Amino acid sequence: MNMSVKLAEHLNFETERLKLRKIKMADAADLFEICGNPLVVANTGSKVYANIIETKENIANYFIPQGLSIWALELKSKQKMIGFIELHVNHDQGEMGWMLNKSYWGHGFAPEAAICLRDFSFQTLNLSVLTASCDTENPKSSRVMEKIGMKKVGQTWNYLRLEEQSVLSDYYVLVKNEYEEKYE
Amino acid sequence: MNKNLILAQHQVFETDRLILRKVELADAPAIYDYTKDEACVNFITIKPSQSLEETQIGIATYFMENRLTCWGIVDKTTDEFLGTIDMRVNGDSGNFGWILNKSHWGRGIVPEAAQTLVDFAFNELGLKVITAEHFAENKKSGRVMEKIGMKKIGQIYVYVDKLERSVLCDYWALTGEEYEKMHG
Repeated sequence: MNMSVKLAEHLNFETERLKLRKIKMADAADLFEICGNPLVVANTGSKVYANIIETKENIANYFIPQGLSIWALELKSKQKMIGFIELHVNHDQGEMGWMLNKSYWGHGFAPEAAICLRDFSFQTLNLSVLTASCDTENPKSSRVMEKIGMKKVGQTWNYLRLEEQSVLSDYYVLVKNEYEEKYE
Repeated sequence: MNKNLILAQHQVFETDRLILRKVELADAPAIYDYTKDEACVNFITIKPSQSLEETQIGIATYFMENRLTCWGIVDKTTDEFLGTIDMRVNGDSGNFGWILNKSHWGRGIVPEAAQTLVDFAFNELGLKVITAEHFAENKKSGRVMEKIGMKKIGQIYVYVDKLERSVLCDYWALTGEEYEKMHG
């Protein structure tokens, strides 16, 4: 089946503490708490949003058009969007990324959401490889990758257009047969 | 200085045994001679060429459109067209690719051509890093990277259209700093 159809059939997920759902304009204030914080955005290659207007522009120009590949992380107990997670599918491989409101770091929310999409990637999308990259200076993010069973297979250089320079990233991978051995 | 201008000012290079120059439509028969060879394209992303016309289309759509960053490799004494090499520039990084007629494998042609472009990349273009990858199963190709001083810093999965699957590749890099230490 067509990959976009499968993604369109899975707009929502639910985990123990989180709802994964599509981002909407009403999320602008919560999204600004995330992407307006330089500490959250540092070393990700994204821009720090200046204000709510810019946040809304990004919702309209990025999060909604790319909607099939991005989910808001809504904390069920507070009905608040505390982050987002992305899964970009390229044929048989998927690349994951996420950002979390700094006030909610350290509670295992990123792994909780990433495990949900990891299982979806292998079980439903039938991908053969899942990858994720993070700046070599960002050990917090790499802990998430380890928690979801990914392994660092090396480093890659990525050119960041906004910062106009290449940075060295740690590159993590989980392949389908490793996933099946570990989790099925 | 503008990188495209520097590239435009360096369309031809000369080494001990080789001339690197731009690829022209007239090179089609020589290119077809090796791109139709299954063994020659086995470990790279392109499909074997089915006809001379397909090769001509390939020249028009790839080598012409990316003219600034592609060079034909020509034997200085026989004027024979041996293969092509490209260095795709993205900001401050360059990514190498090459193909060589199988009857000239083992003569050190690619390292000789690549070394010239490495020198150019760091001394003239001022790049920060150059990278290259090859199918992990094709260990031979890594010898070229080693010879020009690159280091294997990991592995990546690259989706390959003709195989319709992601392929594990060894990933090599050389930074300007490392280059300075070797040659400075």
